[in-house]
Amino acid sequence: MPFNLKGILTGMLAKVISATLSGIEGVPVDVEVDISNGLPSFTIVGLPDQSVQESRERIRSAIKNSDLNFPVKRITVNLAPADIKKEGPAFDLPIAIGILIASEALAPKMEEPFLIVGELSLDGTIRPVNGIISIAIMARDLKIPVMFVPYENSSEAALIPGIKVYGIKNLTDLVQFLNGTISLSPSEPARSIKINEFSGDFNEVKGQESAKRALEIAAAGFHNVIMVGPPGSGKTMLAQRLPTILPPLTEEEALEVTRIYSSAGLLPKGGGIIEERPFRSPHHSISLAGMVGGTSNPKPGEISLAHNGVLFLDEFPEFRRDVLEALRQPMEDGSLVISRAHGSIRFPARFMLVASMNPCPCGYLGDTKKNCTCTQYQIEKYFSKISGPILDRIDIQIEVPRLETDTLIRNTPGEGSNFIRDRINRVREFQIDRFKDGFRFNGLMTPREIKKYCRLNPPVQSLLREIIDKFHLSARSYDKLLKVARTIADLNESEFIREEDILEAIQYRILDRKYWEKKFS
Amino acid sequence: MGEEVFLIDWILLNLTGRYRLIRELFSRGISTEDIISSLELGQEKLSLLRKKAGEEYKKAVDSGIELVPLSSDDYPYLLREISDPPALLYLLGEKVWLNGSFVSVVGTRKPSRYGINITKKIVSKLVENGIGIVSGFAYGIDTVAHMEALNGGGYTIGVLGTGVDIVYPGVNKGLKKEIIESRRGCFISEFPLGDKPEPWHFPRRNRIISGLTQITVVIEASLKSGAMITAGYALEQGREVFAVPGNADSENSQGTNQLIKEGAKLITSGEDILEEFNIIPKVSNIRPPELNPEEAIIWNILNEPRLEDDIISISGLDTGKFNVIVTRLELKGLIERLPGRMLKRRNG
Repeated sequence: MPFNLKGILTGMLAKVISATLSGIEGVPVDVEVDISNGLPSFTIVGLPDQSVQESRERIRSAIKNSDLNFPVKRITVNLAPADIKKEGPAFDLPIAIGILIASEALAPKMEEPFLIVGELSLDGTIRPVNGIISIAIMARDLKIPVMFVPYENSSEAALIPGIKVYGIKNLTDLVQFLNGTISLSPSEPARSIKINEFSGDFNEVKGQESAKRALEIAAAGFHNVIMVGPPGSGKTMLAQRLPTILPPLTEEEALEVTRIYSSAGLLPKGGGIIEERPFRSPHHSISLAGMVGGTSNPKPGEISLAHNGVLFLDEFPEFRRDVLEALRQPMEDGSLVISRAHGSIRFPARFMLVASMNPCPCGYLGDTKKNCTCTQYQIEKYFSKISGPILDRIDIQIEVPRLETDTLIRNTPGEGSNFIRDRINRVREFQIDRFKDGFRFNGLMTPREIKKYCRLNPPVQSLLREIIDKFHLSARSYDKLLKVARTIADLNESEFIREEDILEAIQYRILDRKYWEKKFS
Repeated sequence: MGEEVFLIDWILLNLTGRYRLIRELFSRGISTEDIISSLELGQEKLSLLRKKAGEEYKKAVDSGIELVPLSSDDYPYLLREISDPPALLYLLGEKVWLNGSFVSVVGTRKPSRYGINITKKIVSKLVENGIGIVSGFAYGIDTVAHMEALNGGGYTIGVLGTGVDIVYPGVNKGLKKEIIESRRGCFISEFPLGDKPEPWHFPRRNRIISGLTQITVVIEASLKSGAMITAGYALEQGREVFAVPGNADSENSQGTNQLIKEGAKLITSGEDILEEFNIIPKVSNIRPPELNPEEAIIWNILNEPRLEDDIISISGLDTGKFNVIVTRLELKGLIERLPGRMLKRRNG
């Protein structure tokens, strides 16, 4: 793309570098302003949408209210490249600066190329915009050394090293700074912020020992999990605490997450870097677009907001079929590609799926106190709402029964999240060693990698064959069993998968087991 | 060809549904043709029935379904003794009733866990001692009884309220296939092929369930239930009714408790039934062989069905280790899992 880094032309023509978002990627946009004699007018071309068209009024008022002259001439603004749709108010500030340069009210003293984004309010104050971190990453990649961004976004942009970021409070400040009459100091990187409303600890969960152990294994190997249990058995409570035992985000992962939240406009006021693993729990009435992202100008959906974290789907079979099926491809690829007329956009979506469901429509199948009132047909129908291909991508399947009060009272509190996390961190290191890549986990192994890393010695092999026979396991569950056994072996710090690892893993595959499929078997 | 005409005649007789008269005439040694003519059906109706019977015959031959007429030596002799035996039985599978004694086991479609457990216990004890199980292939107790008989290596007969070619209830499709493929079981019905599960079919087929055996065991039944109808038929037919008692306040046991009040034999185990056959029960090895110390810990705690969490806290084992041992015991066939993360000893 022809792109003049110098950015500024003399005379009645000016060019300012700005940027827009495509998905979560920043895309550079040249703002060209031409002022000529003729009937006074103000036109913006280059595929602007309504919100960009409206910026004319904001710019006119903001310039006037900053004690500067708005030229009474024929003004033409071009946003290049002209084939990308431009939306949002982030072009207000670059257009205003372009007009001031073209009308010779402003002559930047700055030698280096710079990039400007920001929304103007009528009094010249600059308001924050979305996706600033993606734009900063783009600027770094294009070697643009200086950025002028809204003051409230500046610490977020400053997270990206190698660029000087100036936070601007109002139009006057920027004009004076560019003219060299005042000086500003570059912004400091943001502090870390919290996004999860909830934080708890595993020691608050009483009982459910097997479920806790299964979640530990899931967290260690990034395995997807489904929990089956009656209402009130603590499935949600367990899931909410998962982020507290997942290994901390690496710097790069933290940037990815922050970037997604920034482009979705979900960063809290003031911005910052997200250092905790996201936990998303959309309601089961969610639409397809809400789940995977979409609309004509795609925004990240829940699966992207759960990137590097946990996507908790409570009442799993109640989700719309198309919504569940849409999870399949991202679960495989770790990202989602949305195709639109103007090209396709990739959203990262590598999440750990934690699903929960009742054992039957009434919820009380297998409960010790209440009788289940469902017919076998209703139960089968309920389970059939989850398609085989989805279930195929869920390594760990556990049952979470409702506990009786005396069990709850007798049980001493469990281990704290910190202790569990220590073990998990060790397993993570094994995995980094194994895959030579910080983003890979046992749960994401391909069939070829399973062959390579889950090799069994002959006695274990024959035990596995016996198990498959005895429990009538399908060929499908064979791979899942191996993956889970691999993580258990890692937790036990064993290089090879041993008998015990297989024997334990089988207990986390309840949906494979006959006793569950047939109510009376 | 003679055989075909003969069977078509019996299908025709079966279609008239006048079982009492047919049995009466047959027992006097009257020939099939004469029985037909003595029914006085009228020319028009007779030719209509004959046409339908011919089609039935063709369908049965095409789908490998055997026809067992009342006159056949293979017709279950206990069933022939009741006052209204079907003139013809459609049979899918092996004639396993020729292989030994059978007991009918019936109960509710919505059993409690107690009902399921006791059914398994009784049925497994019976098949272990060579006694087969007759039931109605409905949900609930029936399904458990058939399944347990099959798993225990015994014989089982399903008496259907539909044509034998119909799978009902649909969820038992797999079980039906398993029973046929094991060659240790069969399905019989008096209803023509393709007959749908009509509500009035089921009470009628219940007389066949009780009629096939000397003893009918009622496991769990509410006062107004199919199992109670079966028990009623058994008494009418001069057969014995056994009932398993239950809690006085349990809806599922009101029927069985009522039967006991009225004089049905109260049973609590398979041994109670074996007594009637003068069979000395085989002693199953209660103490399982070769348990390592850790396995023994869990086995000992499981003197009653228990929740996993409780076993973990009583045993003091760590959860991973615990799961390993549970799989070992499951592999040895010593314990089994119930929904709701419960564990119990098998047949214990």
